[in-house]
Amino acid sequence: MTTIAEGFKIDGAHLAQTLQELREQLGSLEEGVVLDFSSVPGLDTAGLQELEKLAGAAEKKAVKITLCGVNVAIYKVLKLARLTSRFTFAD
Amino acid sequence: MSDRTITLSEERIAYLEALVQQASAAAAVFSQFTQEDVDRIVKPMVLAGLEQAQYLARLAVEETKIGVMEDKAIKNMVATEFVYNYVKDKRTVGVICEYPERSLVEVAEPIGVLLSLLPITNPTSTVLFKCIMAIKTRNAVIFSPHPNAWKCCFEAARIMYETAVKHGAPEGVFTCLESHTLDDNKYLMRHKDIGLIDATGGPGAVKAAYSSGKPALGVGAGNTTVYLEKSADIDMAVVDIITSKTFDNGTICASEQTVVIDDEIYQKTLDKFASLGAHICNEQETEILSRTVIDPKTGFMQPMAVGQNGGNIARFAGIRVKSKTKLLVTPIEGVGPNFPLSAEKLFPVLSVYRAKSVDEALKVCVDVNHNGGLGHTAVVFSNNEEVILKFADVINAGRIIVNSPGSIGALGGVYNDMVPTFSFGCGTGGGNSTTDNVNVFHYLNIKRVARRTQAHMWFRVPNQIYFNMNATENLRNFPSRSTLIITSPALEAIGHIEIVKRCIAPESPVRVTIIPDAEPDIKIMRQGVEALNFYKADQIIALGGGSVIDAAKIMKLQYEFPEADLEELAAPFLDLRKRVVQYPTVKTNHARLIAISTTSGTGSEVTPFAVLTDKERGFKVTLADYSLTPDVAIVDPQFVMSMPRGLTVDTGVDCLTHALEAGVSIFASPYTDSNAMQAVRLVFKYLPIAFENPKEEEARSMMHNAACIAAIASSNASVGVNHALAHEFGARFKVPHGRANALMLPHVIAYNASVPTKFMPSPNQRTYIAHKKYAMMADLLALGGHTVEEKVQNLITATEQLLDHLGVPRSIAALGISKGEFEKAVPELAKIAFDDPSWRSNPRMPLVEELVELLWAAYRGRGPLAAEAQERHPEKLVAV
Repeated sequence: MTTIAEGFKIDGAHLAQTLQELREQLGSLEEGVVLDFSSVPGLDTAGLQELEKLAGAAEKKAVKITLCGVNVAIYKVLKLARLTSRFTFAD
Repeated sequence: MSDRTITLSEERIAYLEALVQQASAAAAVFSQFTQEDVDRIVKPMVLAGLEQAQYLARLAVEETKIGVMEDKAIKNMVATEFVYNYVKDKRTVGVICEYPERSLVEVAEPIGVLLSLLPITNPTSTVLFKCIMAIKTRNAVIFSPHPNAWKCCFEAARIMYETAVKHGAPEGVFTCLESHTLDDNKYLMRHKDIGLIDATGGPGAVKAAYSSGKPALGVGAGNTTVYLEKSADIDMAVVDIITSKTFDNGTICASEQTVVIDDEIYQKTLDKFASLGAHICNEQETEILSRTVIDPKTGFMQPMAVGQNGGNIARFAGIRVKSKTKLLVTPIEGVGPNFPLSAEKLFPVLSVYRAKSVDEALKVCVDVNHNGGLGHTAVVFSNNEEVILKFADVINAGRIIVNSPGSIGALGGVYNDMVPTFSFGCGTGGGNSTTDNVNVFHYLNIKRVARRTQAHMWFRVPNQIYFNMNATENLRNFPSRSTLIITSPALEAIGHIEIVKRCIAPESPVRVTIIPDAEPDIKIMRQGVEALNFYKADQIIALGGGSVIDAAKIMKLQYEFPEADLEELAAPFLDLRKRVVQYPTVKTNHARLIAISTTSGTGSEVTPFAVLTDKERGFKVTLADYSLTPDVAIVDPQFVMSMPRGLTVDTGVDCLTHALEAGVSIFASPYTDSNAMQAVRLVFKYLPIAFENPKEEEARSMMHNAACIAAIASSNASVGVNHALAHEFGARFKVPHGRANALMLPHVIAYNASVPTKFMPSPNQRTYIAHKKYAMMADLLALGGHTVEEKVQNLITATEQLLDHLGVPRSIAALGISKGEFEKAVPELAKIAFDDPSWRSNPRMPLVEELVELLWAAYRGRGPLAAEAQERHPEKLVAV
């Protein structure tokens, strides 16, 4: 399991950076990856864009990405951005 | 998205899609922001707009060649400072408004991505205004400027965007279309991710927005009509009009277009205009001007004239005017296509019309209003309140500005307390969805969080109830100048009237009216009212059963309110307190109604109901209103000691039905429960004794009390499906009301105690409790049982045993009604029962097919007979 950096703030850069790094490593993940969002309080634009890129890259490489511990505010952001169908979600 | 009317290259579509995607992402991220987050961003944006007000105004004038730089700078400041003052303390995130007294809370939901069309006339101020509104409401905006105002709009949006992002707004929150075509707008207007189109501009842009199928705020052309009435302060009016009409060279669409002036002040007004720098055109100049500034083909203003100053306009037309002429005033004699200058003119040309009367003036104002100005703005100068209100009544405009300048007045916040705006909603007259000054609340979806409330309940009874043996003697406490006793022939025959007469204060004159011992008829009622009028009665004593007391209630109603229309008062209703037809309250006559019941069943002496029959026209009306409740009830068992056994049973079971139905009613309350439960207990204990030994005084007395107490419960909590069925069945087959109730009773208890097919909406009850209420009654009667189901079954059994003991027929079949006859009647019975208001308080909402099943259950009957019938007709049995 890859755990996303904790203490992410709306204007922080950790989330986007972590997602970018993950996207670059996707080729080595055969079965899929679970991202723990339980310490992520919110998404900024850069983070959202990285998530979208990650979804695209994962689809190309047939890697399943599961987001767990996503709070409802982030879930709504993903819904508004039409991204929920591109991930699976777990508690 | 394919549209044959849109021609866009793939590259262009990709560009537009990228814009929308960027804005959508920003809007999604923005949805997480708090009120404090957005307020922290708005303030520096406002300051940035104020700092750049002159710079942006200069850009706008240079690019558009329209308007006055100084005025545009003021507009930019209004769009920032004034709007900020309005929005700064407004809640636009989360809970935005609370109504504790209504248990309602409003919660804001952003729209998402807005497409904003920008005008050439007020470009930068509109951008500043919309950017502040968007940030305050957590929305992203794609701006689509007028092609000839793109640079200044882009620059205004850039300043707002950079300031907003610097203070935490999501990247991509504002974007501005680069040079664009109408097809770009069409494509975006129909895009699935655009939530709202906010179109400020010409009629074409507004129409396109509204035609797109998207929610839109379309704010466009107007034609501001002005009435200058003779009581007005002319000096103030002329200065205001010049200020407004020359502000930014008249580019604000709320500026004055045609002033209708009363004859008495016409010349003085024109002189005033001239003295303050206006040029009053003669007939020839007016004619030349109308051909120059109005397109003769379309009737609309020529674009080259828009936002030009008075001197330039005169020069275009070849009219010689003094230097620095502010305004060209053109007298016109009519409105419409033959008078081109009666149209909208967004430049300093003002038409004036001389009206010979207020009536003519208002009619011309209406003509101007309907000549392109519907829904927009109108102005009236007057000190006559009647004229102002008349003007407001006949003119269709979202903003009716009184004694102040139209354009600056309509913007709000300067000359009045309207909401500051740069978008004027023009209502349906202007093809818009709102007449408001568009503001932050139009950029929000407002969600109402409605918490469960409890309906206010009531418990109403007569002012005084006297009970126990010889309670009639209390009549002495009620002095009267003229008393009318209403009673039946039977009671007269057995001497009850004399008992009553003896108890009335000796100085009170007493007359007696005898009515047939049947259902009150309208003819009898009229005779009674005549008697009341003849004797000028101030007291009515109703001595009898339900029919006599009902008749007295209706006589009193007609005596006190001669204009009352009984048929209208009988109109159906769902909730007594919300009924459409209200009972009258201003009395012509006054009379006290004292009801003395001589049966122990209906409890009419304490109820607000009365039934009236019109035999001639063949209809029956049920009246229900607390004003019908007698003022005094006397529950004196001396009048029921000789009640026949059959009547004792029928009325006693009616009383039991009132108590059982009120007990499980959705309007039941602790107040009615106490009465319902006590009545059930008294009936089970004393009805068998009164039946077995009619002379047993305690039993008679307690049954008389039980009837009154049950009626107190049912008149406040109402009855239920048992009564609905019994009313129609009893009327159709001439079965006494109490007996009809008895035939339905065990089946209805079982029906109400089972899981409803449909629940009744009942805000005062948190769950379905009818079965538990029955179980409580079983406990009160000490019937035993461990579970609710057992207790309900024990109550049913006890009820059946009571009915058996009283000799009540076990089934409708036992009454001698053939199955064929009953089968024929059932559909109509069920249909009429469904229309009966009695069941509206039943705990279970009956379906018509369930009413049919209940009728068949009653036909087959209770106890062993029912079991036999079930074997014979299994398809007809209700699963109870």
